[in-house]
Amino acid sequence: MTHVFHLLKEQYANLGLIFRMSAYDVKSQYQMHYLGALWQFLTPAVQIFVYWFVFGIGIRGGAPVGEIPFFVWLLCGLIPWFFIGPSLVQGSNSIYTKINLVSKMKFPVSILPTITIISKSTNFYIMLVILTGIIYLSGINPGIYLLQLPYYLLCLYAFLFAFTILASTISIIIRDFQLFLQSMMRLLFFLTPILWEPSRMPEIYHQILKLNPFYYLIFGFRDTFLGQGWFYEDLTYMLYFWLLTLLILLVGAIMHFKFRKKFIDFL
Amino acid sequence: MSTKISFSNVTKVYNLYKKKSDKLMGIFFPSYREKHFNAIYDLTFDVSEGETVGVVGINGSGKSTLSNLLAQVVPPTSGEIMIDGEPSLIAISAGLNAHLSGIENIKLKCLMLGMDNSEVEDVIPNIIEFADIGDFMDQPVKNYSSGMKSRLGFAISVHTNPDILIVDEALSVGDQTFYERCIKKIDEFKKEGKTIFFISHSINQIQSISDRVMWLHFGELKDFGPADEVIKNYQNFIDWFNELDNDQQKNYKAKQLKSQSNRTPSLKKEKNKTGKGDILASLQAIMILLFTVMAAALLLLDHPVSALWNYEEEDEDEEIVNINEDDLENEAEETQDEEFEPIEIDQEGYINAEEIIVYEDENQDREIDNLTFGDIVYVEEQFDDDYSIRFNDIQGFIASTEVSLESEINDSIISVQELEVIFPDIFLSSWEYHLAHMSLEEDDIRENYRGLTDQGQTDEGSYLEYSNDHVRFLFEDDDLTTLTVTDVNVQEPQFEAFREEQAIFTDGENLYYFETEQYGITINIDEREMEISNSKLPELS
Repeated sequence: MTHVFHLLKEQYANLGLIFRMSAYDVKSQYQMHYLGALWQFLTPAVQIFVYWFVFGIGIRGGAPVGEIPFFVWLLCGLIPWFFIGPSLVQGSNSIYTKINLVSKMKFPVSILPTITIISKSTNFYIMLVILTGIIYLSGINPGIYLLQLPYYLLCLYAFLFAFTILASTISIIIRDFQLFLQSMMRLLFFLTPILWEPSRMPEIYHQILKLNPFYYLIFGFRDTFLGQGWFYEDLTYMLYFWLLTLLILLVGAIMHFKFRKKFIDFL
Repeated sequence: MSTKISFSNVTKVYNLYKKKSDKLMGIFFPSYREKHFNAIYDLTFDVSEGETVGVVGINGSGKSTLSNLLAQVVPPTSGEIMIDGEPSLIAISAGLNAHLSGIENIKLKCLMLGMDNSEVEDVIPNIIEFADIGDFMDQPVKNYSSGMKSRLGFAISVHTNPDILIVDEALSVGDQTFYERCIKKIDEFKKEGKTIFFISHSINQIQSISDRVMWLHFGELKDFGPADEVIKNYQNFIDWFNELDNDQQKNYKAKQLKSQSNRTPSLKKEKNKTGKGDILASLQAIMILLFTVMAAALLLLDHPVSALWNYEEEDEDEEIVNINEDDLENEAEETQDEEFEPIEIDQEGYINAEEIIVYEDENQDREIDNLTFGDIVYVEEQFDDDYSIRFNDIQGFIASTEVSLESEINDSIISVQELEVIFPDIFLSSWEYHLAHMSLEEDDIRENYRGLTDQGQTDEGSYLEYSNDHVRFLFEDDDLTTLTVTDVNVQEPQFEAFREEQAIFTDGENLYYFETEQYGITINIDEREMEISNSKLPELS
């Protein structure tokens, strides 16, 4: 636990640095392209259209999910995923890609994954605002359920932070891990009910799917935006999610501090 | 003058692994060593504030490793390094991102060193002026010549206000004008009392800048002293070495290298401190792992706490029913013996058959009335296979199979969605649309629907049928009371289990009655029809 506190303290001490670096990241990312920052929204828009067309129109024949139009239902899962997926993959690679840059100076390496997560956040928040607009336009009023949004954002950041700390350390030591992670994320994208709804599935498979922590996050966001349930309604699941996050964070912190001095040696 | 940098018995060992897997072994079992190389061996020295130290040595003597150790980029394998201040390392293209332009690199580097935006804005013009690479400032660094890279690197490093400057060969690629400018800057630093390490192959440069010179020779400190003296020794060595013929040179190098790798370092290698902290941390991790697994198990068992709760309730219900049934059976047996001794029931119940006849006596001789599905009757007593009932102040007898008693009915609420499996295809995609019409009147229906196939009157009211949509609407005084869906797939195997579990009551073969939050739903197996009624049956009191 001391490792975890140490890690968190380091994040806190470098908060200013984290935000400045993230802002720089965001600005420089699309500088080379003619359409600039517009690509941050064009890329997801194209993907949303394709998924909606293939899964919504093609496979479901336009049928709504319960009372909710499929398009809205899809957005509620897809938009968090657009944040989770790239943050995890790039966050896990962040130390590796920057190690040459930071190795020539004293730099708190543990904030590199955080910088990636924060720089992806801007986009995510803009998308959330758009999502809220779409939800109200389609006549759904989540009402008071929106109040639990901060809770699920906390879940999201906690999990992303824990996981990227662990994964970025591992992927320095074992380069194969990065490729493994990429395939896993593609797999989990389809195994998490983002594009399809799991209610017709036999209960036992459903429960196994729930072990995937992304399930908790995606359905948390759905409950929030569609006003379908409170976060304290399934306490067992909540407990499981937080224990898992804590476990990953602890192992990640231990490994990070054990190996950080040797990072440069591994390359 | 205080000591700025202090090395004591510093050794840096690089492990030479042949394969990737060996490297992995080295990580997890630090004692696993195939071959190693002492880049720096047992180095001890002190440098004070304001000193400029030149470092000389032939290739492979450990100069770059020393600069990395000084910059705290790599940790020593053993020994101790004390550095008082912020070191800044300048090597050719060190820490420059090749894909970013020069100006972006400046910004990034400054940010990474912890400056805030206004500080960065202040320092950028100075750096640009110092680097003096003109329009190339906006080009990606990968297009730079090595001279430009080193100019930019040097310019950034000296403007980030370091306490200790480590210049690793960076000036050797710059031209004379840039060199002069750097020397001026270095002199400035010296005056400010900053410590400078200057690594170079150019003996002239070293001599002009340094106060003291350090001569590294195959990882070891050969000489460290006043500049003139050490440089002279070093020059002598170089001259001597150059006079050797090729084979001799090779032999000499090979010998030195061999001894360099074989020196088993005074590896009092800090015995991998698996201290208390580590053990504690591992224990914590294992504890949390256990808890997580337990939580996962809980999850997989489908919320056992709430399941237990429900189970108990169900049990109680069943017990009541069982008791009732037991009573009934026992007493029924008794009654058979004692010839129709009535059993008290005293419960309300729903008629579960489509239409039944009420008789005046238990021998079913005279009919007195009819009852239909869903009517509520009060059952008083059981006579063999018949019930004596009361309704609307009429007393009569019906068969005991035709009524579902209060103790037998289920109280589950379902959703329309759960019945989707039996919907005919066309209705499946549009049922919400149809249900949305449940609150409307006949005229609205006529307006919104196309393809009327039948209409007419029954004794329950008028009806409109749209058989293409598999729906029929029934009205009573213009108000829609029932939506009947025809051609439902009652044979669906999934539905069979469902109806046994979820039906409020049933006659056991043909009619099943369900309730949703809003509607009462009757499914007729023989007719393959599903009636969705706007009103549920009144509850039993």
